[in-house]
Amino acid sequence: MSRAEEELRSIAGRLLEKKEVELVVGYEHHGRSVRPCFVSKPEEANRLVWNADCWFNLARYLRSLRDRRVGIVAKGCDGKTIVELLKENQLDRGSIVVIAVECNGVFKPFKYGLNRAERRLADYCRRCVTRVSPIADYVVKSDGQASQRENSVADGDASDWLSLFRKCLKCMACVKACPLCYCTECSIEGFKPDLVHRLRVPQELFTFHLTRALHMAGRCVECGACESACPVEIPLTRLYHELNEWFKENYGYAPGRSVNEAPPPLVFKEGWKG
Amino acid sequence: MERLSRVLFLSEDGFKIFLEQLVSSKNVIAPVETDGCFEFKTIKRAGEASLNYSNTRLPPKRFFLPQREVVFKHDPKKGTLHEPLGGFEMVLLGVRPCDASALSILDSILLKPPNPDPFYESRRRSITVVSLSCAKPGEECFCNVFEAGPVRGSGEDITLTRITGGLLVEVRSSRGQALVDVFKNLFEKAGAEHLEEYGELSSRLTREMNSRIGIARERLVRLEETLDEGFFQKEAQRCVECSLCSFTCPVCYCFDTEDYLEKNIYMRAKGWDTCASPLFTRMASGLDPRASRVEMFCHRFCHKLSRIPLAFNSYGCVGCGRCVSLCPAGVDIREVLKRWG
Repeated sequence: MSRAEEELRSIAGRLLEKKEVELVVGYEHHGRSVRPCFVSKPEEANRLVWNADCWFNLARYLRSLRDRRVGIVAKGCDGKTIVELLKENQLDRGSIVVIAVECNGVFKPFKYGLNRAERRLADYCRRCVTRVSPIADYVVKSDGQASQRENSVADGDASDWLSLFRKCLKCMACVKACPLCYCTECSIEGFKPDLVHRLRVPQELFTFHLTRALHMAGRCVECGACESACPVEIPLTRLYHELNEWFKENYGYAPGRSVNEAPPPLVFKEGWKG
Repeated sequence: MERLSRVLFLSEDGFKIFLEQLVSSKNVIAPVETDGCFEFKTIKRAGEASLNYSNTRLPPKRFFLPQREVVFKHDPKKGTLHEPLGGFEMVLLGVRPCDASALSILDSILLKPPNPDPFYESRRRSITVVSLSCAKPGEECFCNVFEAGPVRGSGEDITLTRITGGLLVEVRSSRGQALVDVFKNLFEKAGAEHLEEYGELSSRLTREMNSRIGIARERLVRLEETLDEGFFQKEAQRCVECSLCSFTCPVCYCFDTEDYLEKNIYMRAKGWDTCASPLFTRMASGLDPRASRVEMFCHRFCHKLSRIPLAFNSYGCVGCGRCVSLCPAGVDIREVLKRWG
């Protein structure tokens, strides 16, 4: 057990013992990887783990736990997600306790069909420079080495989006794993408006992904949950990254930096330059 | 089918020639490696097939149940109705025993008289399934639990098993026999030493499996009555309703239909649907018989482990481990089996 893990467990245990929170959302061991877990008893806090397999964005669960006081183990991107959800009035800051863990990037997840998964930093982590959540009540310093990062687009060619989208199964895992995709009536899934067929029609996959990309533009915190959940490995985060870059260039705005920073579409005025 | 079982031997060189001749004379679909991940693709050259895989990311289900297919076209002007029955002759090579066993489960469900699915039936008839036994069980595999592998499945036409110096070929159906007959001169009669090695391999692989779960049918089929709400409540909390489990399952067969108009022709399509989607049970009136997450979540397990066995006499799971490995939230059917098995 690492020192960071030990500290994480003691903070979670303390919060539960003092009844400051009813529940701590974190990660636990599962098979050769980890999975999200919900700890509600102080003695169970030693189930919590923190390592480079913790790719899932736990902020995904916060909206469904809105009526309870929740502690959450947050990486940099989980924290940025909480910031975005707060901006969009989806959460109450008073009922969340953020245990920020310093993140050195996560590995590409183990997935079916690879006998020995290469332990390589995920592409989106190689672009990311946020190591600690921008919003935090407790900060757990990491004892690992800071990993090699570059603020650039990772290797591999993703310019041929059409052929990448053609692989899509339209299983909606990208939508459902995304903590910021929370519309109760999804415009892609629902019947009103009828943008795409409910069944998978190959010609419509472009519409599906571009609709989603436009909904994520300037909101996506690039946590990579969509990409890691995708069964056919479409590098979706790269698409959203490009849109975010455009936002940054034109409005000087990046999602997840601060709760006080309003999203450009909300405060847009004619002739406004960021 | 069993009475046709016949065991042959194919030398390593013979297998190469078999592959080359097969590819040049028939449509062959085999696992192809792209970015370290395997998927079934049509191959034009024998060298394209990569047969050192653990398993393909997606099951070969889509060749029998396409993700979307048109079931009829109606032209109101001409007054014609056309039902395009799919399926053309091909050989599906390198299916793992678990996925092949999934086909026999689908057979018992979709081909059950009096109303067999004609679309599935025509594809099943025209595709010859050649399975390849596993050489090493994967991390999340638990096919031994349902006796669906790792060496021999139940829905294939030919079972290939790698042994010293070549492959042991087991002909499992008349369709398989027809294929073997085409390449008659390549096969030799299997000797006693081959069969002995096969037996050893089979028991060694089963021993090497990670999962040791004993299941009892009488307990599992009563899963629905004995639902431990606490357990499922806890597990359902984790689920993000992403439906990856059913989209990557070799057995899940639930479908949705959709009517639409295209260039003045009415069409009806059917395609994969999933019980993980809230839209699966929501009716036009807004009523939803499985509205809560827990009910939706339990449904998948109850269907696979209790309702399918009761109605069709085989479990709805083959233990391929895809849902366990791909679930972003770490929902694990093995835990349900351990508890109620």
